[in-house]
Amino acid sequence: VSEPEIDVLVVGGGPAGLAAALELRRVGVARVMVVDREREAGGVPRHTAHTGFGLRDLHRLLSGPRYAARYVALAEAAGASLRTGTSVTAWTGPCAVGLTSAAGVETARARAIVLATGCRERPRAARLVPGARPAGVFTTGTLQQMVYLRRQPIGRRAVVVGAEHVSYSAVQTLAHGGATAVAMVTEHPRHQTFAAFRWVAAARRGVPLLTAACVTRIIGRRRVEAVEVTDLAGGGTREIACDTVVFTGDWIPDHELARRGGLAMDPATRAPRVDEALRTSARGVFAAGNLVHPAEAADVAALGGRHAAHGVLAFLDRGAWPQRAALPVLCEPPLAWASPSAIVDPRAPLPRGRFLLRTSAFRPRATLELRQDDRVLWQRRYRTLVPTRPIRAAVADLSAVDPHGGALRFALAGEPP
Amino acid sequence: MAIAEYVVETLAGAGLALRRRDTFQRARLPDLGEAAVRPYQRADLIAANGDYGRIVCHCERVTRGEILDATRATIPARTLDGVRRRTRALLGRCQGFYCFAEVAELVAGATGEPLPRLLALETP
Repeated sequence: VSEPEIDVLVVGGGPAGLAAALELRRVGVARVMVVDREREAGGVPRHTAHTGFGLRDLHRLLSGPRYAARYVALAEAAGASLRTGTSVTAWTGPCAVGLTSAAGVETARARAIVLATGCRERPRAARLVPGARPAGVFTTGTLQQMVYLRRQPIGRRAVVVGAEHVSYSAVQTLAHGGATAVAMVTEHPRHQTFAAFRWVAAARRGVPLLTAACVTRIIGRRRVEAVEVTDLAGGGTREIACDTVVFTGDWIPDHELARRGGLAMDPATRAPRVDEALRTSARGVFAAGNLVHPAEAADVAALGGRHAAHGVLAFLDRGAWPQRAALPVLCEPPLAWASPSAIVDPRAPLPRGRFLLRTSAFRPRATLELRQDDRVLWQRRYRTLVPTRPIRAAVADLSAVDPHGGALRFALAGEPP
Repeated sequence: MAIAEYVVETLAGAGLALRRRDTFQRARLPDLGEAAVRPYQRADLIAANGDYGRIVCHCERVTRGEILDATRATIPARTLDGVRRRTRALLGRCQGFYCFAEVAELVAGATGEPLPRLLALETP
């Protein structure tokens, strides 16, 4: 068998993939190739026009498009080869994939692969929202591409489904595209973004926020004409006239390639199960970024990519891969997921020294615990846990973990089992 | 098809004189199933036209070439729903999160339909 032509193949040229490639080149890995299926690399920040990017990884404040362009330039300057307009369509071997591009159909073999395929918002169909199927139903990602990348018309009156951070970004995008957000609808009792961002995006514009409510029907023949909103407490319904509906957030990792490769999956994140070094269950295959924590800010995804690069380097140097199955990291309700979703070596560093978690419901004054079997290994009090917002569990010391014990479990103290 | 035969019979019975037309151009729809090899997998097609290697809808792996073909077929697709049904574009798991804007631009360019009409913001 001949040597692979690439050392590391990175699938996905967003912040995580580009940061991984950049770091791999920086530590001296010779042949690093990034493939991205879009015509331009950079990932989601390409069409996220507001500022707030780059603080934690590049130590400067940039808009999304500038941040994306900067990472592309950095990765190229570092000597990573970037192939855009190239889709990975299949696995052709343990560390080999099939590619399709305008240049033809090829295979690429690497010594290691980093999956950095990102995540997407849950679309209307997957939320099982009943009603007609007229034009005018989008996600924030689509809306941003229409407005910022292609200057397409988006309607005049929009209802935004969700009240998390990205939902307010959608309100800003609508305003930029000449549409008014006439209502925001969330199933939760409160919005989930920062008060300041809410004011900048929506409160100042007087966008009404309908809490404990849910869109239960879409009405319209060719274009959306209205939505029916149901009050979850009382069960009453009302119609809101609009020509656009934007479904925001509720992220799903773009895990198709991981699943095709038969990688062990974590049911909570719906991502490939990764350990502290961001190794998946397949030898030589790593996963990083919003694929494994849907969704964090771009700079957190990038730092995850950087962390994965060090795991990749260790693997390339020593060829060592865990023999023992990883201990899964699970969550008890109302906690929704934790990432990384497994631990192999309790002494090895976590990405940024912490687990990232989500809760599915608000919890004031909560005590988060990490348990194994009947032992509490770590705990910390939080003022409030907010759905869709990152919960950071900086478990500094995992040395009490029994590698032969049961799964690690995050739970809230005093929560009924 | 049985329905077509029935229609022909009924029309003839109603007194309409029907003639076979030799110049009739059959409308052929592309094979949308997974049983046959899809254009994105075909080196020969891509070598002849790079657009068959440019995947636009990543979930359903629909190429730029197939979308353009749909708008240029014997009975051309003129709407986004038409392109959806001809090609599967926009109908995958992401429902257009990644590709809606690009598909809309491509179809608008190929059909000459202005975007507000294609997006049903104006009635035709």
